[in-house]
Amino acid sequence: MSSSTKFLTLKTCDDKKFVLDEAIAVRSQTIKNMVEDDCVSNVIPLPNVNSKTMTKVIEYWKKHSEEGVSKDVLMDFDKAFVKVHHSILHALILAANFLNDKEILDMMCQEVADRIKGKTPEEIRKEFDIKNDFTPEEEEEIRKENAWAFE
Amino acid sequence: MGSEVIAICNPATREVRFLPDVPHEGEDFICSIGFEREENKYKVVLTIETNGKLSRAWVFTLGIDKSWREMIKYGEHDYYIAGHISGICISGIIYRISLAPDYCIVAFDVKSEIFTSITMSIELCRSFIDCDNMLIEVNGKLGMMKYSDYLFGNDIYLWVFEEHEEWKHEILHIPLEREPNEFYFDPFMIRKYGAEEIVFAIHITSRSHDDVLVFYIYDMKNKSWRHFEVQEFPGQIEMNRSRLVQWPLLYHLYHHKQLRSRRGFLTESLMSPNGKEIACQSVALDVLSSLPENVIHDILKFLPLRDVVRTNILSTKWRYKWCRIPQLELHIAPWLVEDLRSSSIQFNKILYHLLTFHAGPISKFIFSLYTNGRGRPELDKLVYFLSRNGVQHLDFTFCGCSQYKMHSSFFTCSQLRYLSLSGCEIQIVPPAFKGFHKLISLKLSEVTISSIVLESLIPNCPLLEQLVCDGVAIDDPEISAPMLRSFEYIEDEGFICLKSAPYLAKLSLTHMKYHVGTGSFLESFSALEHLKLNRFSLKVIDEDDEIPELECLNLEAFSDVTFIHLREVKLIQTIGSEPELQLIKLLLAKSPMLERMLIQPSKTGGHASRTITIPIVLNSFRRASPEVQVVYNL
Repeated sequence: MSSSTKFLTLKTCDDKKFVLDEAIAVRSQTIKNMVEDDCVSNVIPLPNVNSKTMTKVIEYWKKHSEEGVSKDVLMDFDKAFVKVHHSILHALILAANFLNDKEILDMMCQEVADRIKGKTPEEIRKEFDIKNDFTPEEEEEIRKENAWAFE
Repeated sequence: MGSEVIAICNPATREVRFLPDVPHEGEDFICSIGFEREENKYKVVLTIETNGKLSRAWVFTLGIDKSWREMIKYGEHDYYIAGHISGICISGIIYRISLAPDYCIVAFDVKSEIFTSITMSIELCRSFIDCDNMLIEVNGKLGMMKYSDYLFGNDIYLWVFEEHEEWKHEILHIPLEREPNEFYFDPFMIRKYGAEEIVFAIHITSRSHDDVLVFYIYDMKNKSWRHFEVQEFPGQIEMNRSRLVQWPLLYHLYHHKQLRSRRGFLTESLMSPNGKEIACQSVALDVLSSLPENVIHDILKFLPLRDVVRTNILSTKWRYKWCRIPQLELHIAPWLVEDLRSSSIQFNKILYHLLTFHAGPISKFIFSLYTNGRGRPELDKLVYFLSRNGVQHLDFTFCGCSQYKMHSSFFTCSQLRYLSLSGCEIQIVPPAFKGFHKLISLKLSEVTISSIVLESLIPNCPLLEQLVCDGVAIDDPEISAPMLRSFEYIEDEGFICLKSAPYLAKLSLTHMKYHVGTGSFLESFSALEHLKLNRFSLKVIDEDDEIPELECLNLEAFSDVTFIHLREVKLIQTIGSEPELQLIKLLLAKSPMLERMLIQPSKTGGHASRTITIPIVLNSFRRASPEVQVVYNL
């Protein structure tokens, strides 16, 4: 049985190699397309993903490919998975977007949305280090223009 | 100081000249510059539209006036000029688009300083009302370009105001063979270049390669295209967006007395063939702002509209991000506002805001409103707005004391794939209705619709796979849906006739009687996999007459029928009537793949004597499937 298992080698931008079961790696639509189009030679380069991020992604893929894992365990895993600093969140989103893994991308985007929801603009700026480059006059103008949303 | 200042720049000489302070501080103003040949004068016209008050206008003649001169006459018209659409000057007349009170083009004669308006036909208005358009000079004539459809792979419409006040149009087809998700196209990236050419800058994204910026240049005289690419595109790009650009004078608004790079110029260097001087810059951005647009949309789709709109105050980068999100969700319930009246006021405010600011396609719109019957015209506008923006997924819920009568523009939502309506009324199908050719799922709940309307609606949805009718008071419609796979009908009273549904796999009928045509009826269910019936009574009608119930279901009549896919049957509230038993017998005898049949007897009194005999009778029925598990659940 194991003889039929195919392995793929993924190479991240910092030249680290990851050997992975093809059945798991094709959770990435990008990799799946490459496999299906038969354009996988030896190593699949992932120029937009670093090894640290890829380790996280693979951790997720493996957990969600395990057999006999209960829904509750997966939910706890996912909850812990997204509780990271926003810089890691950012890297994971970009990786998921590049790898075209809708599941991880949606989960991460939901997490970012949760961190935005119900917060004041000041709180959001603080959370994500967004620099406010409006003048007070401009800010006032926007508040006026969108009054219903700021009431 | 931070007060708003107007500056004029000539990019050829790199000369910048500041105009006197804005005459009426604190209001949004719109400026346009015009040139008048006879007296060789440049004039700037500035207008404001104050809330609830009359509009005001000022004129400034370059090199002559020392301060702004107010125009008294302008106020009579009360135009609302669209701020995001640049005015243009052609042969001494400045044209600008006015959104209110009527959609029209306001013309300002630079020499005589008189405002007039050009009205457009209703048809043309409709085509432009979504704001994704711009004014452009076409061979010395006024033109309007509509580009919103391009985002879904359609063409760009160029309307030209010809002599005799006639609008004529031509269609520009950018020779770009790409899927809509592979490129990004922004109204700020369309420019008139020289006298006869229009430039479209299109940002092509690619997963495997670096992004490319391609300039497509349309020659209006020869009606031909040329293009060139700019390779080696820096990863994070920020096109400089000037709000109003005119050639030969590049005229611009600054919010400070210094030239701020984020509002710099997109000048002629845009056309530099080697692409090196392209007006772009790298900006160090925070983690959130630097995400690709599709990801930002993915994030915002999880937020309620209010939170989405509020992101516009985070930074300049975020100011107009919300305007382009393709998925919107809006719920206006009375518990969010004090009463129904303020609910409708609130709704009007939001709607006005949405219609004014949102640009680009809206693929998904989920909306619920607690309505007291007010706000109908606003709802009509909303439906019209959505129909113009290629909505694919539409979910409308109206609760409250009255139903919303669907606006006719609903029938032009040709891109619909998923449609769910609740608390609506659909009275007629317009004769010009071409069908929802992409519709896959249709859910109607508490919808008033006549069987005639339903019968003309459903055959025009050739791909329909899922149909749910819940509380839809219809009278005996005949349903033909060639691709239908799932049909759920929940209704106390009513008849329905499934005329043709060859792929139907899942059928759920609750509280209903249904009519079936003789002969071909059961054959049409050959793909059935799941069947759920609830207190049914079966009647088979002939073309003319009803056949008495008991005769209708003898097995011989269905000798050539087998339900080869049927795996699961649920019969709820069975009362043990003869037609029911006949149906059970038929299903057991004709379903070789049947795995499970669940029968739940009715618990209401009066039927006890009959239901008690069901299990005994069941055992005597022949079973085509050896594996079938018949569960009689008391």
